[in-house]
Order: sequence, then structure tokens, then C-alpha cells
Amino acid sequence: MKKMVKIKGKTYHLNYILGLVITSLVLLIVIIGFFYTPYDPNTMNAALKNSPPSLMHPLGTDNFGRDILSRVMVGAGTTYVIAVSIVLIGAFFGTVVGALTGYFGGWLDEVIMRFNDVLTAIPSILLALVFVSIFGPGTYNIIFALGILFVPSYARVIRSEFIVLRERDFVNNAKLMGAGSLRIMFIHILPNTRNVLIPALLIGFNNAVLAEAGLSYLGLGVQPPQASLGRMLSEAQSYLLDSPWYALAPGLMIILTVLGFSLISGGMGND
Amino acid sequence: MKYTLKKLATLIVSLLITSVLTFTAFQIIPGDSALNALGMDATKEQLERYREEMGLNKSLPIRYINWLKGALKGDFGYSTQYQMQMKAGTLIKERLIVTIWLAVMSFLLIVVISIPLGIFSAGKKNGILDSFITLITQFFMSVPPFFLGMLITLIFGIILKWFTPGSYINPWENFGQFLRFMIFPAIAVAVPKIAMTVKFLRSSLLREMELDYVRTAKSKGMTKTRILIRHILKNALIPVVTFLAMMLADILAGAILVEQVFNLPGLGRLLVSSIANRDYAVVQAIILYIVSVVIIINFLVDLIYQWIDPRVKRD
Repeated sequence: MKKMVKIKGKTYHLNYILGLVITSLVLLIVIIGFFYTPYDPNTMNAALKNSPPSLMHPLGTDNFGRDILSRVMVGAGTTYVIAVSIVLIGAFFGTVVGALTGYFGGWLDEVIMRFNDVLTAIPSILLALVFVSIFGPGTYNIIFALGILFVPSYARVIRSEFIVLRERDFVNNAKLMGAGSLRIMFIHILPNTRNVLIPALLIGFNNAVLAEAGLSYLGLGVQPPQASLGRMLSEAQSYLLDSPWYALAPGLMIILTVLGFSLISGGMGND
Repeated sequence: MKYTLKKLATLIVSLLITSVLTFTAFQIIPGDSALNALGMDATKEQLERYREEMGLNKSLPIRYINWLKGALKGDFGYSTQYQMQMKAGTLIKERLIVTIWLAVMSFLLIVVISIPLGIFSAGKKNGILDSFITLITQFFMSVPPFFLGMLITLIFGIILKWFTPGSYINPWENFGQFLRFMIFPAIAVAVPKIAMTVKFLRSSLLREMELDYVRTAKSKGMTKTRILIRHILKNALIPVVTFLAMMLADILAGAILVEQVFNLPGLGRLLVSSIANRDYAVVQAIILYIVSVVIIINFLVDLIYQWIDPRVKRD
């Protein structure tokens, strides 16, 4: 929090730099995974069941003899795509709701915010479980469910920014020049919320990664044979005794992802 | 008094809304619950009789009221996931105790460990130990509780053999052994939350230290430790109380996952198996239980909060 680093005349938090390094490494693995993996992530090999890390398979193989490194690369990609979709859905609708309620206020604001209060008090994994039990498990269903569940948190953040910003001179100026409400909200005010919106996006991404991992771990998210970090952990659970490396690889990948993003958002926050 | 009544009214409205939502959410599921319960080869008359018995052919509001009446008495209808007909309420009562113990133990661990650590860390601001604690908390905040549970099973269960994985024993059979087993899942639930609480408490204390009254106390010649304990702590703990209470919802959520890791017969595992088996009576009941608990705790916290900090009443 207090250790600063100077790069090209600008000062950064040490945490911020550390977060960028971790995140870049993790992202590199994921991006490579989209194009190339050492082995096919779903090809089984009965001769190589549960083999420990070796030169051929740096992270070992799982109970079907599949290469764990390849599966982690692809699985992290699945998790990232799901998490990004969730955050985009949540942030988009949250921004619209937050902007409208914060800018106009009134009874609609009151109603939506009370509803928001109830929703935020309840753990999101529980609500996600309700969704899954109604619409059934599966990748698209958890994107849909968690995306909707993320709306209130963004609505809240954007709303409180809009309440402050709508009184500022540049908004009055724009009004005098005849700009319409929609233009003021999304062209003038919205860009000024970036200082809170960007950390909120990063933290939202982390929450989405953890939620996906949790739901897939319970067997309610990504379905086999598709790999995701949570799905791999759920499969690794039964082989903890014989092949502990199976669980460690996807688990560490989740930790590094979440750690990297939270270091970045923490380092941006309190200058 | 007025404040309490207002909060009480909000509590009742929130609980009612929750019950309406929990009930209606499960009405939009496609499929015929009579057909689900009796199977494909039930005759028309059997289906009709089942609907009559269960009150399924009444209108939605009447069914809601009947359901709510039952729910208030702890009767949520019949569970369908086991061969034997079982009351959803009975099923839940058996599992509830495990989850409550897990939540209470984790909560105690959080309070007992994070408050001294937070104070220590803030007292030694920017020292080596403080930096170390900050680094460790940052790391543990990123560990999902269920993965931590797997690590604990691996390290303490399989490598060190401090406990045998899967050797859960019911509290009424051997309470000591029950506690000895439960401490491991409780640690898995608690550790990420301990990290969050330490970080929160530390920054709350540091914010408080900047205030004028601290300077006054210092100029009066009080020692640093004394100021910290006598003056700062009292004020800095107020936001922490709310933080801890909000954490309780997270603890319950963490418990759902960790129960799965340690094979504990708690509410979380029942919930997951009920979802997998489309046993909606049980799912509804568990959701209603957990959400009500969270809402009631929030209400109690509001009351405690205005008792320790009367300023909130004015807002």
C-alpha cells in the first residue's frame, strides 16, 4: 500500500506492478491455450492414468490420462470467457439501471434500490443455485444467472456516482447547450465514473471466476468433458489421495488469477 | 423506539417478499409436479387424486397462503429424492445442526483470530511484520474456500494424518470427535474471511488514528498502546461489527461448498443433491431458511449498531 515504484517518471504502487506481472503471466497462458496446447485436452490415454509430473507432462495426467497442463490452459480459457461474459452482462445492465435511477431519482429509484438491498444481502452463490435449480445446470445458464445477479452491484456503484456528478457544472453546461438527457448521461457523465467503474469491473471479474469455480465444482456449471477450473477441481477431488497434483494445478490458477486482479484494483484505488 | 419499529416493519416486508419470490420462482418450472411425484405410469385418476390431496388445483394465491402456513409450522411438504416418503421439514432439521455448527465455529475463529491480528498489524504500521501480514492476507483473500478445504484435506488429512478424511461423526454419537473433525472445515471456511476482516480492521484503525482526538490524547502524554486500546479500538470496531455480520451470509455460502469437500451431511449438501434430483420442496425450504436467517441477522445488526453508535438513528 505504501511502497511506491517509479517507472518513466510516474509513480505506481508496488502492488499494482506485482498484480500486472501476475495477471500478464496468467493471461499469456490463457491466450496461448486458445491457439495451442501441448496435447489435445480431451484425448484419453489409458496407459498414462494419474501419472505424476514428468518431462512429457509437466503437470502430470488425470484419471483418464489426459494432460493436465493442456486442460488447465483450456479450462482457464473457459473460466475466463464465462467470467468476462458475466461481468459484461452485469456491467451493461447495471450501468443502464444505475444511470437512470441516479440521474432521474424519484419513486422508481426508491423501489429499485430497496429491491437491490434485498438482493445484495443474499449470498450470490445461493441465488445462482436457485437459478440453476429452475433453469437447469450448464454453461449458458450460469452465465445468464450470474450475469443477472451481478446487475445490482454495478447499479449501486454507478448510481451513487451519478447522484454526485449530475450536480456538477459540466452537466449544467451541457444542459444549457441543449444536450438531451441520454446524451448527458452516457456521453458526459459516464466517462467520469471510470475511477470507480474499472476497479468494480476487476473485482466483479474475480467474483465471477470464484462463482464459476464454485458452481462447476458442485457439478452445476460447466459439464464434462469440457474443462473449466472449477470442473477440474471437482474431478480432482476423488483423486486427492493418489494424484494430488491434479487438484493443485487448477486451484493455483484460480488463486493467481484472483490475486493478480485484486492487486491491480487495490493498487489503483488508494493513491 | 421509532427507529426500531421502522426496522421491524422493513424486516417483515422483506421476509414476506422473500417468501413470495421463493414460492413463485418454483411455479414457473415447466413440468407437472403430480406426474413427477407419481411417475409416468400413473393413471389419470391417481394424478387427479394427488392434485386434490396436495391442493395443486387451487389458484396460485391460495396455494401460496397454504404453503406459507405450512412453512411457519416447519412443514414444507414431501421430499421426493428418497425412496421413502419423507417430510422436507424433517430432512432439513437433521442437517441444520451440522451447518449451524460449521457457521458458528468459523465465525468464532474469524473473531478470535482476526481482531488481535488487525490491531497488531495497525499498531506496527509499515513494520516488517505488518507488511508480512498484509501480504499473507492479500494471498488468502484470493483462495476459494473449497480449494482451501481440499488443501487442508491433503496436508492435514493425507500427509500429516491429523484426521481421517470422511470420518465425520454425528454430534449426538460422540461430541468430542465431532468437534475435532469439524474444526478442519471450519478453518477452510474461516481463513479467507479472516484475511478480509484483518484488512478491513487494519484500515479502519488507521483511519481512526488520523483523527484529532488521537492527537489530543498523544499530547496529554498517553502511551501509544493505551490510546489504541482505550480510545481508537472502540470507535474503529463499530464498522467492523457490520462487516462481520455481513460476512455471516458469506460464511453460509462458503459452508455450502465446504460441506461438499468434507462430505458433511449439512444443509449445503442437501441443497445440492436436491437441486440435482429436482426435489423442489426441499430446495424451496432451504432457500427460505437461509435467506430468512440472513435477513433477520441484518435486522439484529441494525439494532445493535444503533445501540453502540446512537448517531445512526439521526439519518
